[in-house]
Amino acid sequence: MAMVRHDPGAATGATPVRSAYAPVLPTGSALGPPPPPHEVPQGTNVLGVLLICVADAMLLLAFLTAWWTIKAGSPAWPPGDVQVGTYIPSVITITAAMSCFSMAWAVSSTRRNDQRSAAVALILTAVFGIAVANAQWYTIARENLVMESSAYATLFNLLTGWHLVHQSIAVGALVLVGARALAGHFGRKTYDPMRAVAAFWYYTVFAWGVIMTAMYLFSHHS
Amino acid sequence: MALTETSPEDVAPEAPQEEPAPPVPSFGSGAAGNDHKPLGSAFLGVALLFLVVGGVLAVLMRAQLLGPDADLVSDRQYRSLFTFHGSYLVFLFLLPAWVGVATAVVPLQIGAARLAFPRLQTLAFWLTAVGGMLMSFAPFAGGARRITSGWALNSPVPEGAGFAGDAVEFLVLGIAVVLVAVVLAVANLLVTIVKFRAPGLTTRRLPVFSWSVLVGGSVLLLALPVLVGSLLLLYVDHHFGSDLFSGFTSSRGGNPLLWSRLFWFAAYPMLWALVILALGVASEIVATFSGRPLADRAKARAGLAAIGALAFLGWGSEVRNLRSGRYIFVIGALIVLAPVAGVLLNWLLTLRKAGEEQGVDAVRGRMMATPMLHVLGLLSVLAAGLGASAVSALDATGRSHSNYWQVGQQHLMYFAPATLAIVAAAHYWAPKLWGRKLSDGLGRLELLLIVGGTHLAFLPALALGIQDMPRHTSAFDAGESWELANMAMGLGTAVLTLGVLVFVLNVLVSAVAKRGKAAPDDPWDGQTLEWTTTSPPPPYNFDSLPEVRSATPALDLRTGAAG
Repeated sequence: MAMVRHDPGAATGATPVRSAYAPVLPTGSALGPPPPPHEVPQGTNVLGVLLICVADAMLLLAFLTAWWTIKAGSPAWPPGDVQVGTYIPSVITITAAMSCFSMAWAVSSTRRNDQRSAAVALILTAVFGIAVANAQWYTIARENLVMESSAYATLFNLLTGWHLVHQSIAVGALVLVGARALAGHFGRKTYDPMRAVAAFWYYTVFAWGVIMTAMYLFSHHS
Repeated sequence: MALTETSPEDVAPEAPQEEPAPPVPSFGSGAAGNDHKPLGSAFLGVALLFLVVGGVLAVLMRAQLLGPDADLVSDRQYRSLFTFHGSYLVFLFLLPAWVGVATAVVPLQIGAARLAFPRLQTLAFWLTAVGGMLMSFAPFAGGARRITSGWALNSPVPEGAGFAGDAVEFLVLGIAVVLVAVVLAVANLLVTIVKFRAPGLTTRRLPVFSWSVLVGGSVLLLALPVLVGSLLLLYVDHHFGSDLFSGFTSSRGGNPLLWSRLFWFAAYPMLWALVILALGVASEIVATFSGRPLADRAKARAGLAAIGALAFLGWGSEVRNLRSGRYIFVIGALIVLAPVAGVLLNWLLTLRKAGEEQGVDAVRGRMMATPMLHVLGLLSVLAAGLGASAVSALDATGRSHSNYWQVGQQHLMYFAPATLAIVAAAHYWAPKLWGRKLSDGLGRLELLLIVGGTHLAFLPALALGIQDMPRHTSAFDAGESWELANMAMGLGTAVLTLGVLVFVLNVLVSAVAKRGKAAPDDPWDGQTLEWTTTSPPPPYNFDSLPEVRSATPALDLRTGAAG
């Protein structure tokens, strides 16, 4: 019997290795390649963060609804014995606004893979963020409004504390992603995590603007 | 290089070399991994556990009202029972079950290899488990007898400060943690749908269930955070005694109407989101078992989107003592019913067209499939719910919101259809979740019990509403004319709970004990992408994807009608 040299890889007579997972589809059906399991489309992280920010804004809306509703029914807002200044909140607002510019600079530098500029911008942004968080902590400590003393005190502490938590998360995320940026992990098409952190940062600044407006600029009535 | 000498006969072309079979997903295995299918099963496992608990609580409640002057439980115990019954079933059954079904099915339907953020979904699962544990501690913690407000947590903190760490706080924190988990999971699903669709699967071609997840998920994403914020306020209020929700008489401020406004602003759209998802599942099943695409797919999708948008208009109709702008909410609560009716009519039109195209006998045969029978049961419940909701919205006296009419209306419009759709979804997608079909025999028995029990329990509730029996009454006098209807409700609740137990048994037998035959890849002649992969699918779902050129790629493959 004649023996033939068999090459399993040859096109003729070879049996393709069919995965046990492969779907059974009709002959001649148009098949495309499966989606690469580990490939993440661009903008995925940013979209995820934006959706979380939308949800978070609705939570803030619940707090502000309580603020406005209770304020409308109160004879004096804030209560007579409470004096809340606007100096430190204004400083916080200006610092937060400046951090937006340094953040935009950091994102732009990361996209251009300009390590030196990115380092300066990231450090500047982190310093602004820490300054904001510190000033908010100082505000809570300085006003020293006892939670159970009034609805105003409860909501004041809750809103300021809520933003302090967000600012701290934003700084933490910035440090983590910034370290990756400075290590050269990101490039023109792969800096999605940096954009996502920037989106959350801008949202945090926006949220402070809303809180500032509600709590300080249009707060008083008696 | 050494070559092996073989004869052609030694090679068997019909016997392809096969890789080892994929591990079959099972309950619990998903909690530790990132594969979305077992993770979805794990969500379903938690949900089914609390479905059984909630059902048992319902039986205890109804046993108290089987006859007049019963004293099985005290008034406070009765009120605690219905509070935990409602809280467990809404927050620990319906929401996690929907997250579970969507987590398991959506990536398969859109041809994705995975979720956008697999670890986030795992985190959401563990948060759900933690929230469930916190809520489970509540009945056994100090002060549990004071929780008597119903699942809407009306009059939430009558006691004021001084109960730190007690039952109210376990319950409030537990619900908040579960809701945070749902929001994270829903955001993940939305990103997956937007970013991970297969090439060619445009938004217009999205399967109806995935579309319903997109719409219902968006509603949940906007509504649930408001509830989380309100619960945090409630927690702070209770923990520190801040009087945020107490009367105007308090010198510390506060507003007694604030809670119900915040709660219903969030909870009303949440209930409609559950209906949207139920309609999405049922639409998918109707299309599959009619053997053709939906009669007017665009209108079905528009209908679901309209329900989502209108869901935010009617919340005020549920708030008592709301005077200003009430007519807007009444109109909102009414017009949201129109697109629901539109989707139901779309199903009927689809079946009629299928009968014309394929012959009535062929379609009638497919109607007997277990998932389709569940949809027919759902249709009967939804029809009753639509009628009850219309009456409820039009009731100028507001009495239907404080008597048994509301019990019947809420169960027929929201809770029962959502539950039935989850059962139908489990039957329909079991091959993809667990690699085998659920038992048809048990399925039909459970369907009979669940649908029969639902009608037997909640149609009499509407009758009690007409007779103005107050909602939270724990006993009634022999002189009242409520005896027969209450007895029917008790019997219906027992039958319904028995049906739930049969369903859970069915899932346990197929998914956990792995009894019965393995399911084929496409047991129903499905139309969407999940039916083009194996049962169960591999860890990354697809080894190859058909080219998507319409909304029904699997149907195109079978009929060769694409293009």
